[in-house]
Amino acid sequence: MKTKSANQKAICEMSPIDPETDAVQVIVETPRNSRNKFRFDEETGLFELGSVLPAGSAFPYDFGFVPGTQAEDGDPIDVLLLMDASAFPGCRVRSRLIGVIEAEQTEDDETERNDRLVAVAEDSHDYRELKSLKDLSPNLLKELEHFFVSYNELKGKTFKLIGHRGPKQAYKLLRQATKSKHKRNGRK
Amino acid sequence: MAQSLLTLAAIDDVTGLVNVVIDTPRHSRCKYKLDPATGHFRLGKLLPLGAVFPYPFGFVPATLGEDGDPLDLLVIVDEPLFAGCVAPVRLLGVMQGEQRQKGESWVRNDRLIGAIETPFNHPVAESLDDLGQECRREIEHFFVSYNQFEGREFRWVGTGNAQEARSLIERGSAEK
Repeated sequence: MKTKSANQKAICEMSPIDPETDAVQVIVETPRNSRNKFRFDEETGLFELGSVLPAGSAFPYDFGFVPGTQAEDGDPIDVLLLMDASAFPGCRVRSRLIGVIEAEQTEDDETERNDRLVAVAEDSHDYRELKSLKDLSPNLLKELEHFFVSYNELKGKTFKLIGHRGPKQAYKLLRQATKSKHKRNGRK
Repeated sequence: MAQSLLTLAAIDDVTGLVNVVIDTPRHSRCKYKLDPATGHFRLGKLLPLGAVFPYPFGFVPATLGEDGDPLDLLVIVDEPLFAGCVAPVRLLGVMQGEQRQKGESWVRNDRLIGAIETPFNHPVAESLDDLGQECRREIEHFFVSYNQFEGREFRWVGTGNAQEARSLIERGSAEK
């Protein structure tokens, strides 16, 4: 058994919902404006450099995951987190979901679903009024889509946007991903 | 300041290096542009979310490209520089591209590529080949990608060496 620091262990054992506030707990992996993509490795409990984005690309918002979940691709469910300033890898941000960007990713002829939840930090000022992805300007959604399409393209992956849905579907996906995680843990 | 940028020569008499006027710093999502009529730097636009300039981007003064603007130049350097900075640049070559709006015909829009050279800083590369394939591929992708988002087609048609880049400037100066 590898040893983990108390903080890293805490991330692995966190539940998706903060029991004190009922907020969704988002763990930031990659801060906004970063060209480096960082990821949390559950095995070692370390944050590691996953990849470097092509020159001229940077993450448009903080990007991370909800702990205690498992999405269709086997990883914890991805979250794009809207807030006023960037956080740092490992930072827990209490958030609420405003929707989901539904997408498919294809690599080596294998296509899998890779949805991204979109959340707003509970303490955010600029995004306080935002309740649903539908309230975002259509152009912003197009820009986000273009970002994911563009950087995957250079890695030889295709990213296809299927659509976007509001908070109800986002919370439904979160519940499903929480159940999948419980099932997997039960089998262990 | 801005007035003198408009009368600057393309090539520095003493060093023989290109005087590049930076419009847009590296890592900027905002694209700035010197307005020759007023001498102001104007915010032209914001690139789509997640897209930033991979290197400082500017123009060669006293030249005219086929698109009606001065010749563009991308400076390979790790630092951002700033809008209005005149940078001493060694030419590495030219990446030849063309673009078109929907329903219109192709217009040539080459990008000169250069590296900073000062008495203390040797240029990081001497030719486009020195930059390596990955670096060039990423630069190519950047221009294709943001043009595509803005509804323009952009395609690369070839490259030229430092000598060809130099002739473009000389031809561009004559046109002007």
